[in-house]
Amino acid sequence: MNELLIAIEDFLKTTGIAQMFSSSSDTAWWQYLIMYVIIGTLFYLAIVKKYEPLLLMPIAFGMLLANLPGAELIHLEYFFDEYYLENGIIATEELVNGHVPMSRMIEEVINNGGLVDILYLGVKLGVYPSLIFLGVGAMTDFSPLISNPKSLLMGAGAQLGVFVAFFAALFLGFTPAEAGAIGIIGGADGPTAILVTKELAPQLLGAIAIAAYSYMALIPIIQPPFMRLLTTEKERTIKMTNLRPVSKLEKVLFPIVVTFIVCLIVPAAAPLVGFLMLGNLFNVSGVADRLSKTAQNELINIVTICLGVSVGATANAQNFLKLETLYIIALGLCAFCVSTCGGLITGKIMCKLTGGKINPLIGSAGVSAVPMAARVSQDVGREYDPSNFLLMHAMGPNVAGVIGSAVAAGVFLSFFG
Amino acid sequence: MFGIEDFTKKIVDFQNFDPSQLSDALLFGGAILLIGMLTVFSVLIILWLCLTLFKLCFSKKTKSEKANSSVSEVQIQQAQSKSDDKEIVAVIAAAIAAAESETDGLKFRVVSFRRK
Repeated sequence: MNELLIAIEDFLKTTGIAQMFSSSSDTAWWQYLIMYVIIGTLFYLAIVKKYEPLLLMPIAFGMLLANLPGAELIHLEYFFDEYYLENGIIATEELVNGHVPMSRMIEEVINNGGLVDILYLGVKLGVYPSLIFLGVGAMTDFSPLISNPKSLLMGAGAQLGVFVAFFAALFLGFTPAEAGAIGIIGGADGPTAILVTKELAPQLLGAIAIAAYSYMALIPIIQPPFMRLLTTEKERTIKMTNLRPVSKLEKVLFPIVVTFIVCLIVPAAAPLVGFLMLGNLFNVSGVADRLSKTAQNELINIVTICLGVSVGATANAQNFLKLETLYIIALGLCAFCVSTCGGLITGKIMCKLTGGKINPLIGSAGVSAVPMAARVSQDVGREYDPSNFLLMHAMGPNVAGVIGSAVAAGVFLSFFG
Repeated sequence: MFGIEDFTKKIVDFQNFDPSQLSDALLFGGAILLIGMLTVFSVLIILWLCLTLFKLCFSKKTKSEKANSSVSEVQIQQAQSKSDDKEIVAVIAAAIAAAESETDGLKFRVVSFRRK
């Protein structure tokens, strides 16, 4: 009987509930509680409000898995040098360029890691963001941009928030590498933010990914006030002329030329821009339908699940509940707002220079976030003139923003990577 | 006097950047802001020029393609319109028949129909 009671007691000690309230635990029970409230909010946004559900749902579930005491699905320490040095697993002289060799980390994950550790390798090795970009490229129609190349300028102007947030993050005491990772939230591009953060500030990955995707989901709420503030009613009702038709040859040359130019100037942007353009080439060439369909559907869906869960799992209570997270959320919002303003101001300048041929509302779509930002331009434009169709015109700056944010990411990676 | 060499060295040697020094933060942050925006604008302006070249090189072809496609579109539309008319009449007749079955005794007269 006594042995049975001991067995029951031992079993109860292994439960998550016991570990949650255990005094030896690194995380207090109230910290778990706060995390569950945050996770619940993300589930609410994804399922009830339908804000970016394809990403927010796996991210929220990954967070839930990471915050279940005892489940041990992820061991973030395996991905940081300190674990290997403090536990004497690796000697200082074995470090390569001051870091633990990736092969040693992979070995540790395979030998001792949990399921999510293995999935997280795709983030650590930078595989998922590039594969997501492959799918995005296959799904994106660059014709509006080829037809109206001036819109590239609005995509460039809308990167202002990235660098302003970087500037502000330095003042809040973040290191330059961390500031770069925080600034890239303003690019409104999840995979880009993840790629830069895993390279420059992996310890901030959870907070930055959650901030980036949450703000992308909230674009219809964040952008319109700035669009109204920075444009006049007359400007909002400008009707733009039809876009010229684009030949197949132009569509095929575009991804090759963009890859060539961007990767020669900013080689660090190659993993993103290269795969974005490869996906697009699959689609426009017309000779690789199977590859294009796979990139657009099965591949991007599988990678989205792996990326979402593993990124969400990095946000455990210990990592996430810090003052830094609040700063990141505030700076991310600042980056989004300034990027929106940057795009709108560039749009206004172009409106003046072209004698009122460009509706500045399409400038806000330069913040990437395809196609949500372009839809917002369309919706705000139709509020003031229901017969005005800005969607295709806004797609130009929108896809230019994807290229622009990849270039901005390349700048940070070149400096601090 | 703070020269251009010191300036460049400070930017490149970011490891020695001291965030607690306001002047360092201002200088370093401002420089990256400037360099970053210039790089993004430069790359996208080069792309703009390339796409403008695309337009110049392929505009003739596009025009002829457009002319061809508009001719073929007209032909297709003309060919379709005859069969479409019959289909439209059938659809309207079916709709009237369905309405009549629900409202006994009511008569309908189609005044006109217009393609949108």
